[in-house]
Amino acid sequence: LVPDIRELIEVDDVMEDDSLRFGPNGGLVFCMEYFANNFNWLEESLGHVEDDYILFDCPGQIELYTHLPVMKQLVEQLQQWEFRVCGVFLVDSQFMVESFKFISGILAALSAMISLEIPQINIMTKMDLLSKKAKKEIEKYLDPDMYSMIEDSTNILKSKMFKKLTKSICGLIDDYGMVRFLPFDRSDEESMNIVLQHIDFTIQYGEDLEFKEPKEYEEDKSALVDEYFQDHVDE
Amino acid sequence: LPSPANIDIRDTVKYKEVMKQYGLGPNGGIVTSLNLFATRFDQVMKFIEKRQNASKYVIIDTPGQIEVFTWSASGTIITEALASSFPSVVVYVMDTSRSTNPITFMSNMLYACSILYKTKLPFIVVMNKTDIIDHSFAVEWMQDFETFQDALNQETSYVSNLTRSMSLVLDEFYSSLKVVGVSAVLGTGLEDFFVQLSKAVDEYER
Repeated sequence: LVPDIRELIEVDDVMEDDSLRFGPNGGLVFCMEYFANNFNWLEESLGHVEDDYILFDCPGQIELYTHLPVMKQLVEQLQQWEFRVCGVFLVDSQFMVESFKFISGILAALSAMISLEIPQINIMTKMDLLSKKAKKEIEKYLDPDMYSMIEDSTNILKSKMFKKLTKSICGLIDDYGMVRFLPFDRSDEESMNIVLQHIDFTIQYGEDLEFKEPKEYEEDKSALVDEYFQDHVDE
Repeated sequence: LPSPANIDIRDTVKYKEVMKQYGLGPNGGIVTSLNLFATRFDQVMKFIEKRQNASKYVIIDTPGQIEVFTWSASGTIITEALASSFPSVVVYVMDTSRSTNPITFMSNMLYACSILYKTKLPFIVVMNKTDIIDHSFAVEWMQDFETFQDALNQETSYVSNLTRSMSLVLDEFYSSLKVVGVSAVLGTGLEDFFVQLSKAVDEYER
């Protein structure tokens, strides 16, 4: 019972259409806008949902979030349908092992977070694929006092150009739990539970922001999770 | 700036054929094409080395979907190969007309910052399409924290203390940036661009 957008519209078809003549980017944009104009299709495809988590697997291109209103429209529509919406930002942990890359990941997550204006959880995936050494490295960055934990063999991070900026970013991460990354290991049930708990908590948090009658909605707790920025590791 | 490409990836890798051969969707097609190109990249490096005396600058146009380049192993390989041999500068091109919303602007800048940390190279932000809209609003936002905050507060109340803290982070970011406004269509702003580019090269050399 999984609605597939390809039942509504496909990028290939759009690209092959002679009257439109789009490349891969244009085709993608067209499909997204088409989707946004046909939310009734989504409503029908979702059918009756109660107390379920619904995951939306979303495209990874940030331009779709920053330059198009489509995702925001989707979020607003879902909220109108009384879903609680939470964003889940995924980054392959292999891309986060070095201190620079880790900070880069945090910034990308922040970039996404403010675009959609919904509560967001950041997750590092595929932790099971990391070596022991890599895992230890990452654990350092999950430490509350991040700046002092950052080591940098190239000495660039604490160089003139980067020092103040790095310090202010680390301060931000330390101050705001929302900005942190949670480790996710598919083979470890506990890590999955922790992530799920965070999502539940975040959805409640979202509830506080938007709904003023929390008790009444306790039973009708249809929760919805947007899953996006899924990184595809090169095979 | 009408210039034909000296090296066209389409000579080496054909996107649609890659999709067919490997049974991939459009994203997979782009990523795999880039991967295949990366394996041949040493040829590009040799080409650049040969032409060093003939051309002052080499411009590399990356795929329109930025993640493909910035968050892939191939993109990283290509960037690091170039940066370790030649002075390299990242040129981040923004569509000015689509950045007038302070939220979009902030999101864009945070993403630019994320790329700065990934590449660790000197950075120039190019605000394109100044023929449609002048980029002075952006410059003002970058120079005056309070005007940006005011604009942002009018748009959203989303976790406002967090966004305020993020603006402060960006403030730091801006001081390490060079910004130029251009119009590719009209060809304006390019002189300034090359001036900033030279400064960026100096930065690299330090």
